[in-house]
Amino acid sequence: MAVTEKISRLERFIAENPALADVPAMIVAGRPITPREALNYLRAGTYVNEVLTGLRALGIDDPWILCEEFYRRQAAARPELKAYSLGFVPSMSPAESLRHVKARDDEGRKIVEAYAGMLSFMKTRVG
Amino acid sequence: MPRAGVAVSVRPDFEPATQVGSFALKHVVDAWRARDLEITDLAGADAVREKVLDAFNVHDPVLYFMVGHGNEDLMTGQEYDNLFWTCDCRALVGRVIVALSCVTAARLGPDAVGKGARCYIGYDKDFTWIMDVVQDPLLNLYARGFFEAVLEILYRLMAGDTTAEAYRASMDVWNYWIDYWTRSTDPSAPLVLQWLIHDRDSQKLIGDAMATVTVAEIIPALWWAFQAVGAVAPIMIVAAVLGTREAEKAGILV
Repeated sequence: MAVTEKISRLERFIAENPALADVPAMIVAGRPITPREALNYLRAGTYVNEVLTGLRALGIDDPWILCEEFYRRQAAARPELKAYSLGFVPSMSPAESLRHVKARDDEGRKIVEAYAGMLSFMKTRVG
Repeated sequence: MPRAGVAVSVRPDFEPATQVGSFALKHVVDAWRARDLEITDLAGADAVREKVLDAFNVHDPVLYFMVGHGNEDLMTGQEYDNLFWTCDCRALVGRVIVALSCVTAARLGPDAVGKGARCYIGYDKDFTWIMDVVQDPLLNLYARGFFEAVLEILYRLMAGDTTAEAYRASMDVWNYWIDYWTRSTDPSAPLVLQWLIHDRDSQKLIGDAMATVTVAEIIPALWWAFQAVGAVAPIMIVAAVLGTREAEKAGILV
């Protein structure tokens, strides 16, 4: 697929799914990036092959790394929001969630599984 | 046999997560009462096993719905009081259960249905939602979608839908809110979206998909049926008498 067409598709995806535009979804040059950042790379003509590969393989990259980056960003942006649960860890802030993901413990695993579910959902929307 | 149109609700409220769940289910309790249906609402300190079993013995409800912390094998009430657990579900036989609790649909739910519960609707992963302040979730921008989807099950059952119809209606509500938050530019939208997708996909119906819990729609229908029969009965009698006389005149009847 031509790069220009991929750029158009990404622009349309971001316009129609703004909530997913800034979700770390692939690893390029060793760094987790979002669809918006991928679009910027394509427009700038940098890491084009890596970005195109990443878009094709959406959901394949290590979800632990992607999820960690996501919660790092959320902890900085909205620290007061909490995830409440009817399991036996009743609530977690984004910073606490980040700690579990980094520790790769049971709670971290549950969070990463949920994150991977969102990446699968994103894949259906990217097309 | 459990009585249709009768419910028991359990609403612990000893910490923030159960407080929020209790706020949510209170809407259903109020709606149930507004329809003049019978409900025993065990809230706060009453949300314990002993009172649930008493309520089952006295009222024999077809519907049991609850909020509480849980795991694969256990649902709990106030202060984590054990309500029901895998291999101890005798009291649930014949009933429809809607459990707003983590993971109970993984083992407890199937065990209950395998031992005679009519239907179990619950979650096979941690039921998780996003909130910025502990309050009635229907008033909270971030939490509203999660609880509207759950309450839809109970409202539909109350209206006479089958468990499958109620479940499908709930899925529509999940999908509505997933679409809503996908289109949102709120920086926290992906956080909400992650858990909406997760909870929707973990919601399960186990057992009888055709179960219903109310007879409210049947009683008015029967009443109208009797009225209709009553209205036409005199006409039918006259027709029968006239027809008989004509038959006698014609020599058909002696």
